[in-house]
Amino acid sequence: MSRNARFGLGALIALAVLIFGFAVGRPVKVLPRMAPAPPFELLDASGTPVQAPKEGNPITFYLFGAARDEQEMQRIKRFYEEASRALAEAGYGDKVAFSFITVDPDHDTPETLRQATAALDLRQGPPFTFLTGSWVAIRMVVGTGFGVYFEPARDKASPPAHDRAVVVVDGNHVIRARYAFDQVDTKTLVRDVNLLLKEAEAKGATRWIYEGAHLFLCYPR
Amino acid sequence: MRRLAYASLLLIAVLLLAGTLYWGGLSPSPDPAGLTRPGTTAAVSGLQRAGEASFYGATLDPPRAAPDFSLADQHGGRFRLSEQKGDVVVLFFGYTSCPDVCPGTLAQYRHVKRTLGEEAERVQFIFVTVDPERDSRERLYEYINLFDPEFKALWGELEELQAVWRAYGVYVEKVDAPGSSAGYLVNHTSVSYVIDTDGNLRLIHLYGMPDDQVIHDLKRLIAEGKSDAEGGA
Repeated sequence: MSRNARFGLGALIALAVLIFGFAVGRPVKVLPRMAPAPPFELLDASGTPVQAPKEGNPITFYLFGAARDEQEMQRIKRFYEEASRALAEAGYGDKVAFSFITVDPDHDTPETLRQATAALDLRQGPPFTFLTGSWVAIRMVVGTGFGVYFEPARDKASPPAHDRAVVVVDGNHVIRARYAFDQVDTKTLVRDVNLLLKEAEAKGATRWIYEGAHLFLCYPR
Repeated sequence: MRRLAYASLLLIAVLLLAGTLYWGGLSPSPDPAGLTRPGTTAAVSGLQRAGEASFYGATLDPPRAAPDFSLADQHGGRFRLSEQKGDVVVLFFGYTSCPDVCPGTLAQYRHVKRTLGEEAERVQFIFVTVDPERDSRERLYEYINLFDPEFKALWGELEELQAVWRAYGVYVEKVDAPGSSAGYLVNHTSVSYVIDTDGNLRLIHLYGMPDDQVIHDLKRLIAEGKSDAEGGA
């Protein structure tokens, strides 16, 4: 075997060992790029159009519900307060935002959402935007786009049934995590924000390491 | 020496195999909550994919009246959606300077229309501009004639159009395209909305859906319309 062949073989072995080590050791972890988040234009509680994606958008937690479901709105309030507190303690309070998208567009006008947010009395924490739109827009965004199941309200008295989900969207408007609302804990949210921020800040060679982590599915367990 | 080479190659193969098995077996689900992701819309999305044989497009269940609107067409007439009952309407949003999605979709609809033959008389293909700044009536007239003069191209004042875009959840974003003779491009929703003969929004067709699937869905809606008409008579 010539010297060059030995060198080539050695390099190949080193590469294989490196790849194997990367996959087993997972020195860098990333959240999966699950799907592009749906682009949308919806109305906020003041009736102002809100578009996404927009440059400079922070990491956003999307929540879904109906303003007339008071118990659920209280749960969302608790979730927001607990998550905000944990994120602020970790130093990420100004790096995130929350958005609520209604699954009850026939009922939730901007005015209804304004009243609901006023009743929730959300005083401190990251920005929290409440969004609504036409029934077609909501189906396109919530159903097709975010993949969150909801059924139109069966009667006027009851709010629509829907999946209680939290969807985490990064600054590039890509869905990076999805949790059942009742099951996710604040520790996981802080971990996710930490991973997303580290990845977003990676530059040069580090950027390639993160791409490698995606390639080898180095996801947190 | 040759033994060493064989041993090394074997080692590489073992490492690669082990790595593959490791990733395949231990990779965590990218969907931690076990909820279905977008794209696998089966029972999840409020839009439900219908049974295998019924529709290829995503169905809106229950169907509801498509949001009505009135806009000017390329001939200078007025088009009102609610006046089209009795026909299947395929509604698509785009613009004449679009480099890819819009001409691709309109070319597909030309082929679909030809394949439908006489049945195409029961289908209206409607193109609504998302670029009122550049898409004048004359420009839309010329553009739509490149595909099929029977297609309707609709335009209006920005406020009128914004109301329609918003009603259909159409995302419209103007983006600069430095170096391009177009000057700017418009990012926009690329789906088509299919409205049945009763004026209900029934299906969403994603961009790139194969011709035969589009034709299948349209034929089915035409047949539904016919049987409704016969039942009514």
